[in-house]
Amino acid sequence: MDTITLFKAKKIITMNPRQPVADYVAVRDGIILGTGSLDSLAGWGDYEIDNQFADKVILPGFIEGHCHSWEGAAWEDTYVGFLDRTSPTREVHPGLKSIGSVVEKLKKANHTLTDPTTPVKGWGLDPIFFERRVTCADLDQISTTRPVVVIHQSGHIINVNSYVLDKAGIDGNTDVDGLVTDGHGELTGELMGIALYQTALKAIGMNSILDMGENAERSLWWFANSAQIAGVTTVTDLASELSPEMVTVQQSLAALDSYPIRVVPAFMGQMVPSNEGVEKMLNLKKQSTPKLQLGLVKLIVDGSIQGFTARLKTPGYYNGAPNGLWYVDPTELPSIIEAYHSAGLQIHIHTNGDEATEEALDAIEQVLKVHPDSDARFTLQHCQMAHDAHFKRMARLGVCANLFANHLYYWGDQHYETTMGPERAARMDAANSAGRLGVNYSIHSDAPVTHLSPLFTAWCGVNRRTYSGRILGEPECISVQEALHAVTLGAAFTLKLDSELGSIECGKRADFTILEDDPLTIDPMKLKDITVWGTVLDGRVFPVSEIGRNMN
Amino acid sequence: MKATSLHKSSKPPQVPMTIIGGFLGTGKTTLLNHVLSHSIGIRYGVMVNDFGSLAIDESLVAAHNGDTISFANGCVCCAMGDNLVASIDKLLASAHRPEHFLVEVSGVANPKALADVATLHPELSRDLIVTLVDAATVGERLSDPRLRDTIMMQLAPADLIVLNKCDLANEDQLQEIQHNLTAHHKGKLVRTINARLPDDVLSQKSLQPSQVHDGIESDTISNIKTSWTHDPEAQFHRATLDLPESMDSEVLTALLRKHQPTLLRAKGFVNNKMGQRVSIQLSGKRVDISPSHYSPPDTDTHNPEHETPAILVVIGLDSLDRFRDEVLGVNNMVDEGATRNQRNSV
Repeated sequence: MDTITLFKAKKIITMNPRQPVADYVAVRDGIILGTGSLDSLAGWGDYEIDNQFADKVILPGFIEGHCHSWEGAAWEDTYVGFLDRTSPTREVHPGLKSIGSVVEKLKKANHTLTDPTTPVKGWGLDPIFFERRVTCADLDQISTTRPVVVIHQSGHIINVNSYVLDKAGIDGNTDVDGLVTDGHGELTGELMGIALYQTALKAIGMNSILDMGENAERSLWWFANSAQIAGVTTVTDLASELSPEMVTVQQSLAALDSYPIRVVPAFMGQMVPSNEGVEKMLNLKKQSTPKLQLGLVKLIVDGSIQGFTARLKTPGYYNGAPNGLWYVDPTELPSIIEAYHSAGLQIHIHTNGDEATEEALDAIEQVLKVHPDSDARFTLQHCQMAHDAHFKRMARLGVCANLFANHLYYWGDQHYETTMGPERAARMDAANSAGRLGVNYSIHSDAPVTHLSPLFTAWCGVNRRTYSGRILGEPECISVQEALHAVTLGAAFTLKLDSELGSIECGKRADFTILEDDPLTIDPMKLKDITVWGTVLDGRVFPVSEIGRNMN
Repeated sequence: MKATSLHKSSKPPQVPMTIIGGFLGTGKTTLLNHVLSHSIGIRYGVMVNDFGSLAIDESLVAAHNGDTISFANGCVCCAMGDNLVASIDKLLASAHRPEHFLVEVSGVANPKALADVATLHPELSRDLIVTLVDAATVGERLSDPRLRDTIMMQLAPADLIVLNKCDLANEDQLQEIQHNLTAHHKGKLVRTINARLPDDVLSQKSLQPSQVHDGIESDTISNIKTSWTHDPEAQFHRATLDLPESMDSEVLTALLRKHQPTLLRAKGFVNNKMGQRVSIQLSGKRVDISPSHYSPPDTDTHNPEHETPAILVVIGLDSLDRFRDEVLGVNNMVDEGATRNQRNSV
C-alpha cells in the first residue's frame, strides 16, 4: 500500500458542507482519504506530513467548464489583443491599446522570420476597442512581400495585408459577401464568411486557422500549461472534431504522469449525421480514462451576441441590428438531441440569445417526454440572456447552465450601449438568479475567446464590473463562496464528474488548486489578483514555477 | 472579374457550381437524385452539407464517374468544420475531375455564402443558386418568427425558387404562397412535384444549341400565366436564336444583362469586337465570356472556329418574346440601348 501523505495548509477550502475548512488533507494513491485535523486523519495509518503548502490555501482543483484546446495553438502566433494576457510560457503580453502598437508588435514578429514565405500571424484583435477598423495600409507596414494575417478575438473575422488579397485574387470588383470596404470603396482587408476566409488561407498555403498540424502535441502542452498557470486541473475542449489522429495525440499525452490536466473534449455533434455521431461517441466513450473523459456531445444553436449572430426574441438587438443566425435548424434540433440522448450520451448546448435558449429548452422538454431521464444534465453553454422564466424551466427539467461571466468585463460596456441596452445587459449571465431558482451552474472563460483564469471568472461573477468600471446588474452578483463553487463542484456537476471531482472529501481524486492567498477573506475586488502557486493532480504536485520542464 | 483569355485556351474550362438551398424536407436531396438520374454525359461532383433523412443515391453519382463527398458543417464557425475549398480542390485534382459541381447546403445556411466560394475560385464559375420551398409547410414557416428571416435570407439570393410539393396544396394556397414569395423575386419561381425540374435547368452543359436553327425554334407554351401547371417542362420558355451578323459579344452581353430578370440561362457563340468567336453564357445574374474552344494540351483536334454557328439558346420562366425581338430586331436601337445598359451595369 502506498504511503499516506498529509498535506498541511494554511487553510483548505473543501466545498464539502460537513467540513467546509480544514488544516490537513490526507492523500493515498492519488485519492483523498479525508480532511480535518491531524488527529482525525491519523487513523488511516502511517503517514508523512508534507509542509510545502503550510503557508498556502488549498482549494478543489479548478474546472474550466467551457474552453478550447485552441488556447494552446493560439500561442503559435503573435497575441495582439486589447487586454493583458499571460502565455503558456508565463510571459505577460501587455494589452495593445492602439492600432499603431498592434502594427509595431507584428513588425517585431516579422523580423524574427527567416523564410520569406512564412506568414506573419496575429490573434486576439478586437477592433471594438479602437476608434477605427484595421486596414491593409496598417498591415502593409509590416510586410508587402509576405502574408500578414490577423485573426480577430471572435475567431470569425480576419484582417489580411494587400499581399494576401493579391494572392487570393480578391479585388474591388470581387462580387462576394463579407468583403469590407472603407468609405471610399477601397478594400480594407477585413474578411468575413467561409468563402473569403478559406480562399485567403488557401492563397497562403494554410488549411485552417485551427489546424494544429504537426504542432498538435506542442499546442496541447501549451493548453495544459495555460490551465496550470490558472490553477485549473480539469479542462473541457468544447468542441472538437475528435479526429482519430487528434484522439491518439490526446491519449498519448493523458498517459503521461507529467501531463498536468484532465481533459473533457466534447464532440461537435452536428458535424456529421446523428447516427454516425452516436456510433463514433459510443466507441470513444469506451476508451475514456480518468485523464481523458470521452463521451460528451456539444451542439451549437446560434452565434454570438457581440457578433450580432445570437438569436434574440423580440424586441431584438438594442441598436436595431437584424436577428442573428441559426447554426442548426431549430425544427431539426429535437431529433438531433434525441439521437444522442437516447444513446445515453450527455449533451451540452451552446445558446447565447434568449430565442436560442428557449428553442433548446423546448427541444429538451420534447425529448425528455419520450426518453425520460431525471439525471441527463443537459447543460446550456453561455446561456447569456436567460431570465427567471428560463431558469425556472431549467430547474424543472434538470438542465444546468454554464454562464459566460467573463463577458461582463470584456464586452459588458458594448452590451449596455449597443447590443442589449441597459435593462437586458443587467440580467446577462444571471448567476444569482440561476442559483436562487435551483439551477446548478458554472461560470467560464471560453478561452481563448477570453483569458483562462477561474479566479478572474469568479471575480466577474462576484463583482460584475465592465472594462470601464460599470456594474452590470448588482442583484446578479454572487458571493465568493458561490463563485468558487461554480468553478469547482458546479462545473464538475455539469460534466457528471462530481462524484470524483469538485470537492476535497474522502474518496475523490486528489486534484487541488494551490493559492498564495485566501479568496474567502481577501477583498473581493482583488480575487483575480491572487497568485496561483500551482496545482495537484491525482496527488502529484505541479508548481507553476516549473512549467515547461516536462515538455517535450 | 476573373481575367479570361479570349484565345484558344490550354486551361480546362471553369467548372460551374450550382448551389441548392432550402430548409430540411423541402426536397433538396430529391432534386439532386432527380438531376443525377436524368442527366446523361455529365460528370458531377456532388457535395452535401445537409444531413437529412434522405441520402444521396451515390450509385447515381458513380454512374456518371463522379464523386460524392459530405462536408461537415462549416457554417457553425469559419474556423471549424471541413475546409470546403480544400475538398473542392481535391475533386478538381482527381482522375474524375467533375464537369459540374452540385452543392446541397445545410437547411439553415445562406446559399450565397457557398456560391461565393465559386466566385472566388479560379477554376470554378458560379452557377445558379436554387432555393427550394415546401408548398405544404412554407406558409406556416413564413408566419413563424423563428424561421421567417432564415427563409427570406435563403430566397433573397436565389436565381430560381422551386416551389416543391405542389401536390400537397390547393391552387388558392399556391397562389397565396407564390404571391408572398415572388413579391421581390419576379419571374424566378417554378412549381414542381417531387422536385422534378427539366434536365437543362440545373446544368449549363445540357443546354445545347438545337440542331434546328432556321430562324426561331421555340417550344414555349403560350398563355402559360393564365393557367398554372405543375408540369415543370411547360413552365419554362425556350428559344434558339440565329444571331444577326452585326451582333457582337458586347452587345449581346448588354442585352442579356438587360433581360436578365426574364432569363434563367443562356448559352451561345458570337464574335467579339476583334472578330474572334467566343462562347457566351448567362447563369442567373452572371454573364461569362470564354474562348469558344477548349483544346486539351496534348491534342490539336477541334473544330475550326468558323464552324461554330452564331446562335444563342435561352431558357426562362417568362415570355422570351421581348428579348427575342431585341436580339433579332432593329440593330441601331439595340446598339444604343445595349451600350447604355452595359454602362449602367459596370
